[in-house]
Amino acid sequence: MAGAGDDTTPREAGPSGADPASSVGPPSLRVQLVLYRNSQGAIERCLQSIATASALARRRGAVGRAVLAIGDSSPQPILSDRAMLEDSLVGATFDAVSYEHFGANLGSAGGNNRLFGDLSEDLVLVLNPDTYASPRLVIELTASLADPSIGIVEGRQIPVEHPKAHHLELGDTGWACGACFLARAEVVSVTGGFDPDLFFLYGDDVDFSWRARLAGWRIMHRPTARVFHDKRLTPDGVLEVTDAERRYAAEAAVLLPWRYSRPDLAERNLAAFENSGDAPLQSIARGLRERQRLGQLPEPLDPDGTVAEFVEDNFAEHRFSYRD
Amino acid sequence: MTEDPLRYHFAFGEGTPYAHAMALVSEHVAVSGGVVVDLGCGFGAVAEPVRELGLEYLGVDSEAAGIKDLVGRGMEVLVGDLARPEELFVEVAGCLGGRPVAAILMLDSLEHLPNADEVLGVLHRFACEQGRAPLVVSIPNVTHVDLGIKLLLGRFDMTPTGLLDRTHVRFFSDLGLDEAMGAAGWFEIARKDFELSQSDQHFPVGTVALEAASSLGQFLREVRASASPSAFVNQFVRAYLPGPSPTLRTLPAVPEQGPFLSVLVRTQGKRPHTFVETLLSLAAQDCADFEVLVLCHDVNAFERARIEETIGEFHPAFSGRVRVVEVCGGGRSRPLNVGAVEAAGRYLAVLDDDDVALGNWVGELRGLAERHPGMVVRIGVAEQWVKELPGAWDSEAGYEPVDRPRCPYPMSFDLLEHLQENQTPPSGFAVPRSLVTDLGQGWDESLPVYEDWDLLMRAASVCGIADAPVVGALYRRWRVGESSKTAHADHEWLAAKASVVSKLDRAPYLLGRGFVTQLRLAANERSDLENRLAGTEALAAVLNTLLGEARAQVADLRGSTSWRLTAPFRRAGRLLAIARRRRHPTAQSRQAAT
Repeated sequence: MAGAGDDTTPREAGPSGADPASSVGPPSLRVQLVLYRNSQGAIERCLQSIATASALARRRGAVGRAVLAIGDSSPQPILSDRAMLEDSLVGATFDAVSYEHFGANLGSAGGNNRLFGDLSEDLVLVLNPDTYASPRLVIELTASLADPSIGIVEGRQIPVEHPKAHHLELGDTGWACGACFLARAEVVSVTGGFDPDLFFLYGDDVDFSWRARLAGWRIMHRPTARVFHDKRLTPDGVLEVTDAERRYAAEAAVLLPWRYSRPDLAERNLAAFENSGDAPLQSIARGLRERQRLGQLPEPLDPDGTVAEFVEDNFAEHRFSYRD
Repeated sequence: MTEDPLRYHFAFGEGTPYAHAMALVSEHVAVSGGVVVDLGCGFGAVAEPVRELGLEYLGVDSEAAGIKDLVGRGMEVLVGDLARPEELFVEVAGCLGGRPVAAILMLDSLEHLPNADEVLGVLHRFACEQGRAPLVVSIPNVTHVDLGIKLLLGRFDMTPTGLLDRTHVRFFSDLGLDEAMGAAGWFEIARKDFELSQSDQHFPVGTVALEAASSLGQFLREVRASASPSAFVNQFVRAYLPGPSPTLRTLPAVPEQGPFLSVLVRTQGKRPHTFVETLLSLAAQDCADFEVLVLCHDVNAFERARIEETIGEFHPAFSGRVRVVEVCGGGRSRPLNVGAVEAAGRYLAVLDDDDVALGNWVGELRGLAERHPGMVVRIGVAEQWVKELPGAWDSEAGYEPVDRPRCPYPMSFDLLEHLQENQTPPSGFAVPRSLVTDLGQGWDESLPVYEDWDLLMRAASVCGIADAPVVGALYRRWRVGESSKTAHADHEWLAAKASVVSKLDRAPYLLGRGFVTQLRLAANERSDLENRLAGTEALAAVLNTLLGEARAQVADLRGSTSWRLTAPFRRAGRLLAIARRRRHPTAQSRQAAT
């Protein structure tokens, strides 16, 4: 889907200047989640929380029609009995609830893009299933989109906050984290959403955000839009990451510089992987070299570096580091 | 076995349970000049004191010896048997002949009655008919510390009189007495319990566990005394009035099964932006076997409403497990003690309104408690420095992290290290609720700070500590803003620490398995360090001596005639050396010059 509507011309404000909140009636909302081997308990809590937050937003007039779309990348359908979709609050809050078992692991980028396919609401809330929305999450996020120049707004993650910097007064930030953000549907249609051809799990949100910024929108961090993201810490206080997360984060460290006109950084990172002595990293490097050899590199964007930021190994200034 | 009836011929006197009972009679007598009915009067030890109060005395008993003695002292008596209370009270009413009842006494008699509950019920009706006369009882306490310790030793010594009188058929604890009296419709109005630090059961003399001077004796007495106020009560001496109807306050045979954990969340309503995050982190727990008590400490109506609104916005699956408890007065400990009383969980944990739990917090604590029931359970806590941002309720961020979470607190509990300094934040452990409710080990309200450390150290003694090297919570440290670290002066921290240590010293401290080895290792390390220090000091002394000798020799040399005579030659030599260096600078000095 990515690239279908790519518009890389920077704009002063949002592309259309449309403000869903200022149109007749409150904006319609789609909440979407992509599942992958999540526990029933985690999904149940997540659904209860987002139903609660959506219901409160509807009662306060922050959103109007609301739908819930769930995609499932797990080998077997997780919600086979669909009992939790019939939770009284979930049923009462959403005008429509859909569940699709993809039959394949599409990753977060592919799964969300599949769900974007029939997006007809004004706003779309992308949420990880290992989250728990605070009751005012939807109200807070939609409040940010009252400003038509803002295309995407992300929530504040607790207990382990993302270290990415943001403007303390305005909230502007380099990119929106895919664990929880609210985007205008127009951002999805203009950018084409995520790019599943390039990204599977990590970096997809950075890429989506940067293309939205290239299209003229601002990205906002809203600290009062709280969401619990179930991250754990090691006994050293370091963030626990899975092998898959490590792998796709490493890939993103090459793919993003490739796409955003920094081949020097991509080459430096690739060489570092190759020389690391770490078998998984070397395997990733071989795969990327093969893509390079086959000419499968993405078309470079942002040649002047107007939106893409590469600060040390990060894609924005960080307030603090999770590494010593 | 025939018992000697004279064994109950006790005299009235100051410092006896009879004097305590008479004090209650004089304070709560229903009518002046009325009759005091002494049920199961025996030899009527209080008959004369009753008359001295200007009241009439009527002794009721079935034992001839006592009745005969009372008659001989000119007292009015009625021979009657409490085994048939309905008939007896008809006879008592007849005997009274319309005279008002000033009080009813049952001194050391209820425990002899197999039908005690029936007697109390009929007596309630009788008292109501007689102008709601008060009832004063004296009842032996079967939970006196001496009896408890002897049971531990496998001893249950029945005696002719006393706490374990052979003719006792009912045994009363404080709670049991409350239950029996309440069930019969009697409401307590006053108490003057009679205490003995050593009861008649304090034998054999020299029994290690019984003696207060022995470590074991001290420890057991401390445990019993902390558990409830009746440890040294020999007889419950209490006054009651008949209520309008009996209340069925029976204790449940099997206590209700509460959740695993009661989470105590202290809030003063000042941090709404972090309070909502505390709740959010609890709502998101992967184990839901807990309840939350939000302890609103000295909050105003506006803050209280705001807190309730915040809770009410959550999904009922969570908000239905949250209770709001208002707490007034006291320091940081007060809300926790109030919460412990209200709690239904088997364990208690504290999560303050600026702490957040990781998703595994409750689950990890529960897992440990299941594997180590009765022990304190402890997990790791990360701390994160944050800076405060000025903000109003839910309209601003409130704070900003300035560093990543770090884990400065040890993952495993080390008693020796903890005796020096607290190394466990409040959210890092949960204690069995029984520690508070059964053993009276609550949070010390006299401490302005360190109340968590104080409880942890006392709990470590009686419960032991089971820990797991996992991080379960995040403890925020405020760079600017109020936390207990900044709200209290240094001297308060020092004084509180001294108080905690002093309390631990006051009673024997129970050490867990393996501690002896730990202590030996620490002692060995100290020994090694002392030896090394002694060696270093000896060497320093030798060097000092040598230095002193060398200085003396130099002084001698400088004071000699030959040294003074050769002084001009040495001066000339030094000038010559300087002149040479100027002509031929060394490589080092050239480099330094550039």
